[in-house]
Amino acid sequence: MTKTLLPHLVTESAARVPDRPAVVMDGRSLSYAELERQSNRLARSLLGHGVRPGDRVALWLPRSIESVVALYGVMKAGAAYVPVDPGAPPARLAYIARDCAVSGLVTVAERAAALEETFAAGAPMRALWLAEEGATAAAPCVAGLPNVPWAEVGAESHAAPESRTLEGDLAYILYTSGSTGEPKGVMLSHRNALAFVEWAGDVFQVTHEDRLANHAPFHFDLSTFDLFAGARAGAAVYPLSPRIASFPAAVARQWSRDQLTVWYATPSTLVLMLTRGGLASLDLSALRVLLFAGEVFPIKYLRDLMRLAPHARYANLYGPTETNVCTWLEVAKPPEDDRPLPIGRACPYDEVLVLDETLKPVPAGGSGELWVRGATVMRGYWGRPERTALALQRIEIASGVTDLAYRTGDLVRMQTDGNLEFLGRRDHQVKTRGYRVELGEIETVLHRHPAVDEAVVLAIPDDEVTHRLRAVVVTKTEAALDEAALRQHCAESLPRYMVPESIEFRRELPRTSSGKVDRRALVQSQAS
Amino acid sequence: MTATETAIHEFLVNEVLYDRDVKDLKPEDPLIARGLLDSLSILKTVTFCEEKFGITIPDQDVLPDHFESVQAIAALVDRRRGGA
Repeated sequence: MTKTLLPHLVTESAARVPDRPAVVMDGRSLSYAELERQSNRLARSLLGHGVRPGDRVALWLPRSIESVVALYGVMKAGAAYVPVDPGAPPARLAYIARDCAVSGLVTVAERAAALEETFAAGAPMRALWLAEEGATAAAPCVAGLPNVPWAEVGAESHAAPESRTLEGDLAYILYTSGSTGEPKGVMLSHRNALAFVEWAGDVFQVTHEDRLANHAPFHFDLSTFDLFAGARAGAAVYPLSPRIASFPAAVARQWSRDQLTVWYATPSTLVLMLTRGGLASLDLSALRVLLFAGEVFPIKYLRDLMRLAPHARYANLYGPTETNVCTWLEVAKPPEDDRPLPIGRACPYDEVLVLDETLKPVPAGGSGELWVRGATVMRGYWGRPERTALALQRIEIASGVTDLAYRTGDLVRMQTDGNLEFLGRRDHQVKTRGYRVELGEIETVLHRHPAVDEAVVLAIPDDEVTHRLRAVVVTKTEAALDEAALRQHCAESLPRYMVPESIEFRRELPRTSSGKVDRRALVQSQAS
Repeated sequence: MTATETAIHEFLVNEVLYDRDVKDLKPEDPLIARGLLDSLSILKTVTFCEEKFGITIPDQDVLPDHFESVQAIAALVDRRRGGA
């Protein structure tokens, strides 16, 4: 099978530019030839321990050079990688491992030791791989599973295992917040990813001379551009060290010092680098392309950024995890007024439709819900046919022509110039620091606490991080519960960015005339 | 613990770190290596220190080296206060 899939982007660059750096991090680097060999070895090790093509393998480890080897190794074994937020608690990993029945886990010894014996119950788990140099001593075994140290992986043959993967097979599954209280796995194929990666690589002219920042963690789809458009071009990818990731001033200095040429990050990240990171005093002459996605960019900050590096290209990319990037807008010059940036036009591999509630196209200038069809649209949600059927619907796209399209839940207006304007959500999904959060998922977790009677989570708009999360809770009579204990309860099953920053206790919640909780009144009462 | 360390420790444990296993957090325990601080926690900690101790912490001082542990944060605060 000669078709190029995601891992073959590395294979091809290893043939073309074997000695160029593929991954550079913390003063270490791995060339394309080495990345190719190491990922082949891991693939052989996975297959040797019983992982089969078509399986899922979870990644739960701090970002490292080995974590990049791991995701290519998993795909070379014909399996799909399932990146789990490294900051998420073990309970969330266990849920995901069970949910999509992973057959392997790539982690590090310290984390393996923190896992409960039962974490993989219900998953056909074959082994744990410890992706770190020097981890030769086996950590305590979890449920009797073998721990495969990195040295054992290194002893495998570096010849590529035979590929039995087709372009429609799954490359990765990304778990996103689910409104019913449980995260859902978005299934994406090699073809889905490649459609975006090939287009983005071409339109932003990524070459082997480029140095790409990798700020987004691997469970966030922004990382697919950094990793795969980088590999396709034979460029160097610079994954951000977990040590500095939370320090805007450290990130800004490092990117300037490393002379990174392509940055792709959320507006929250870029705004913090601008407001707290001292970007204005740094050398940005190497910056060539700056891409952002995931939330609305406050215009005053975008304008400041564009003035600091006027020589760079800027583009706003839009798309939910289910479609990856589906529309884009190149920002040619600093916007003159403060109106939010449009999300632009469809990328050439997708088509966007603005439909009313009866699924009829809205006339130009009108507003409706955004639907997307085309090459990057997901295969569905893992193990959730009903949710998939609601999200992917066969609709008429032209007279007598139907196709599966993804219903985004985003309300948009088609402007007269053909650009789409983002108006808001039709549900309670919000963004915080670029992460997509279903307020309902947090509320479900709060309700699980025995002392909680009612709970509402509010997203309070914030200039720097888009929204801050605040919970308003009514406890059961007589129940004693403090804020710290309840936040701790949340942290046991939610990733850190979903834990409410503050919790307010009230005796009752304001109601609308129909008896529903009055969210608007609650949000207004917070705006002081 | 010094008075500065005690105040910062109390703030971190009660307001920032909701994880189960920080009750025994010692002033020298690593905060970053254990993944306990995200960008929002750091902003909150900086704001807390500035208000509590009446100092300003310039952005260029908000770096991993100064947030390694409770001890490191306290040392930064004491330097900004012109103390030891």
